[in-house]
Amino acid sequence: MGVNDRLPDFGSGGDAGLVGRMIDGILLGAQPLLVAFFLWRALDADPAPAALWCIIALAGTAILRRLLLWPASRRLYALAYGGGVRMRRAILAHLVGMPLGAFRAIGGGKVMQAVSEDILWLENHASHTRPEIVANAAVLAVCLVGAVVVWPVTGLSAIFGMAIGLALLSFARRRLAVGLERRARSLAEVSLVLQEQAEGVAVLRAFADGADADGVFARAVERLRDGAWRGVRKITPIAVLFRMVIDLSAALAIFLAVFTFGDASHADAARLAISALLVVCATVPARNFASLSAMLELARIGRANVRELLAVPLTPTGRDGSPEAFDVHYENVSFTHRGRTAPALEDITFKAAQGEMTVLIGANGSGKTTCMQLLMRFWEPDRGRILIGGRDIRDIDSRALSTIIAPVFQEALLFDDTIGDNIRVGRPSASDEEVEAAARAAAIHDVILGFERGYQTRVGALGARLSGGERQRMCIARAILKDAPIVILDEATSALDPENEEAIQRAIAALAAGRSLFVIAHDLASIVAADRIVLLDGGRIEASGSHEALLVSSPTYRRLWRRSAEMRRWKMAQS
Amino acid sequence: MGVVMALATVSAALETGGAALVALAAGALVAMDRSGALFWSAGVLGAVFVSCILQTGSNLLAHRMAIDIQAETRLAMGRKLWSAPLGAIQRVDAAELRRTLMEDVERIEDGVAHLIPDLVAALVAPVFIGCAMLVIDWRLALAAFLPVFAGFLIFSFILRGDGGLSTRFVAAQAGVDTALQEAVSMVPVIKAYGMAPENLRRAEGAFKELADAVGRWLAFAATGTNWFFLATTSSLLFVAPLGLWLYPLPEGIAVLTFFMLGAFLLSSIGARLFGAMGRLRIQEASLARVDALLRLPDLPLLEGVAADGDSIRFEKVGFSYGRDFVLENIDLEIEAGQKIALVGPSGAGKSTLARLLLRFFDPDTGRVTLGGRDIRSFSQPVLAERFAAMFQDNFLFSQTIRANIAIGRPGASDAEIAEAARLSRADDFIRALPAGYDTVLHRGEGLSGGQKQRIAIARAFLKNAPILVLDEAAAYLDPDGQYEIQAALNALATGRTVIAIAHRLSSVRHFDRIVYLEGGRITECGSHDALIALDGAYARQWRSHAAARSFTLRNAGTV
Repeated sequence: MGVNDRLPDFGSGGDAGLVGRMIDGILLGAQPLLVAFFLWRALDADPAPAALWCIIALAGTAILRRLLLWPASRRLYALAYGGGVRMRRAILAHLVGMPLGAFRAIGGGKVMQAVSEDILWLENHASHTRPEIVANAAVLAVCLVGAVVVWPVTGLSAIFGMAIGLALLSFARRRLAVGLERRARSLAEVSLVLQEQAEGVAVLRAFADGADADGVFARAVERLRDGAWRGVRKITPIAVLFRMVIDLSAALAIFLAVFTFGDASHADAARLAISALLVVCATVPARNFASLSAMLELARIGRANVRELLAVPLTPTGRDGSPEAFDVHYENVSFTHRGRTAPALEDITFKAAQGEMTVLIGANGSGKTTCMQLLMRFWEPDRGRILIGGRDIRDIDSRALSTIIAPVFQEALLFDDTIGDNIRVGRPSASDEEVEAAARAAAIHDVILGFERGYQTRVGALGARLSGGERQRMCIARAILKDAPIVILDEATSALDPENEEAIQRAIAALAAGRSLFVIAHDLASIVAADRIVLLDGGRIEASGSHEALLVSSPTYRRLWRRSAEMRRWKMAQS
Repeated sequence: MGVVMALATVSAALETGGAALVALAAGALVAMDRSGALFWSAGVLGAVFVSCILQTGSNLLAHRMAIDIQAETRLAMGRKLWSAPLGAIQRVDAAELRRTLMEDVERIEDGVAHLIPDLVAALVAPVFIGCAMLVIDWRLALAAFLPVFAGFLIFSFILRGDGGLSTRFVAAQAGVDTALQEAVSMVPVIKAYGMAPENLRRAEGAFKELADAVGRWLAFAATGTNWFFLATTSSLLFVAPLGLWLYPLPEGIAVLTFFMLGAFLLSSIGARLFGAMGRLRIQEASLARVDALLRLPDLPLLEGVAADGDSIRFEKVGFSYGRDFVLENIDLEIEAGQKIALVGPSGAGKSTLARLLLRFFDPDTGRVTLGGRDIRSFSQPVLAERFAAMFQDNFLFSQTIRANIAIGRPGASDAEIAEAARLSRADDFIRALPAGYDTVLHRGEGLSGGQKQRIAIARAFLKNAPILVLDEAAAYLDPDGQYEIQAALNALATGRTVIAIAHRLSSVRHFDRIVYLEGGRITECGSHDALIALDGAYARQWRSHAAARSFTLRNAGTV
């Protein structure tokens, strides 16, 4: 999968399908035209041959339509759904390829909206809306052009009237889009209230005096009701007006033609009648444009959303292979999150020799996690650089970089797949024995064997039978299997799991052994053996050194150390 | 609803009438009756005009009804959120709940305001056209309706005979959504482990399944669908030649014109019904979700006797929910002022036990009493008054910090709110915010987990309930703010009955009683010292915990 910087196409081959649908529309519109023609012919001649020719001509159009419709619609559907899958794949690849920070900034809800609902509308657009527009336009054009040829007054006035209707629609569509957006924004606030009342009902039930005692929920519902009604009053007249203009333009055309009809011949009267038939037929496809234009608008919104996602630049990848040494060097690294003014990290410089253990500590928001994310290139530093083995990480191929770092996140992220395959993510080529060895080292092997299907058990099927600590150990097994020279532990020990506390510690010790280790930690007692403790404060390094050195040099560290000891001794409900 | 349908019906009748008027005008024209033609064509104008006005009316009315139904449904859901067992509501994922309350209810508008009138019009119009045709000439009427009937036969064949293909297609689409949802949540792992997107087996499998389902569906249903469309748009093919044969011109022009128009109007009905079917299916799914929520049973309110004090008793309590979370034969007595810890492996039933006390669920067997009175006989607000609960998920509303704390006691003064915040160690950080107590929280954004937790604790202080039910994990929610949370929780627990779900045994060893649960039963119960002396499961866990506390992380070792 290459770099996708533009909207993946639904396939240019769709044009053939569209042409098919257009010809089908022309044939469908040709039916009344043909009938009209034979009506006219039958006027002065024997009806029998006219009827026969009529059968032949109409049957001919039906056969042609049968021949056209099948391949055209097959092609359109195949392209629509094939294109939908291609587009989802492209979005997924793009999400994985963009900096994680950018991905987080977009938000999961918006991403899901794009890959599910928006693409559904685009599929619908390709398989239904677009061909329908083409087909309806063809029927409309044939009927109206036919009417003009048969009796210009009828045809031209109908064209004039319907053109006004369609112009009204395209004008209204833009106005509608703006109006809908404005309404959606004003209602978002109300629906937020409603949602929170639903999601926070546990809190409300624990505290409030009774069901919706202060009427917040009911008021929000009323505001939604009013807003919806205001929207209807704005939109409905336009929809009705459109239909009225279309129907009235046919009726008026007929009336005008009859009104201006002088003392012409019998044949002329028949021609006028036929033109009347044609303009009435034209109203059927014309009316359909109301709903089609609404769907067009939804597809336009969908396309804009998808395009916005795909416009996020990907993390540029370097060309160099994996470095030979794994000492890590932060050189004057500064970074500010997009949209914030205060820097997340400022002038961070430290060096971690290969095989050392480095611990980052500091308060919430001091930049610990961001600092480690920069090493994994989840973000790009604004200034300064990070070197591994003397090589700027931006010059290292992103696949190569990902193979030398094994992170364990605070959140135990597992696929809803088998346990074996979840561990194997660490090294897809690993044998069953290697997977098992990793699980054993992570102190999870026995637990896995306890499940009926062992390593073949699906994680999702276990649900609550899998504790947080057990999930975390599976993630650690995955990292062990990866066998990367650099290990990052982001609060990996914070999973609360009393009966497994010790097992997690064993697993982490197995993972850490012999590697360059970076740890984000709070329980200071467990990391006193670190080669270097980096104390961050507001994005800057406040102090750095070994536990013993910091106890001497840093008053902040001394305070944290005292507090940490107190926390360990905490006894609940004891004042 | 009747009025809406009636208006839609009259409007459909006028459409047929319009076609008849056009036919009459054509007849008059050919008969060289100019004033007659003018009269009938003016009639067409009138019919269209009236039809449009009726449509506007029916449209607005249908929307009004749809909007009212939406509001009533939402209000009913709001009531259900209060009357159903809280546990049952919490089993519904928060995102799911939001979707049902907002989007699914939103869909009702399309159903009531568009779908029903559309369906009525699409079904009624052919009836009128058919009746008029039958009156004029039954042979031509038959010719006009023959292909339409054939089309619907084909359609029912598709619906019945697709061998679950359309179900499979819908399932495949849902599968793609689920797989992508998972992939999106797993992006950090996918990146960190350098997984190629094409190696995401679940997503790839879902894509393949969708492509396959579409392929099969195309091979089968699309052919049928095409026949359906071809048949329903071919009325003219039968009517025109037969009409020409039966009705010599020029006298026959009026009849012929009417049948031609009628046949063409019929040709649009297939597409309209087909579109409505698809939307109907979406409606079904939405309505099913709304219905499932509204069908949750209400918590019953039993006849009560007078309560006496705050002692708690579990009497032979049994509870199961699906396969998970089972409690069996629980007997437990808690005196007012006691401190009780619930410990045991995950899935042993600790949280379920605590939630039964708060009446998130009612037990299947046995009962829970408070002050000697079955808790099912307390009205919800009265029962809620006795308890303060502290779990890991503390919901903050998008209101000011002041309003969020005041939930604990509506009508509390500013001084009381500040005092509660001070006791929960939240006062300092709140005052440091630029807008102080008037800071508007956007779903708690911008506050650390520990700060949110302390606001929740302030709420509980304000409420001042005699019994505190608490998940010890709440104390470790935010490693950075842990110290303050622990201090705040200790202050909150002072002078109250405490029932704690405990994870770190050292923090509850001084409790009056430790209740050890395993597999939904109480297997050991007593003070820490008594349980250590017993040397059972608790003692084993205690030893493991003690070892874990002296752990030091090192990376210097063998690879």
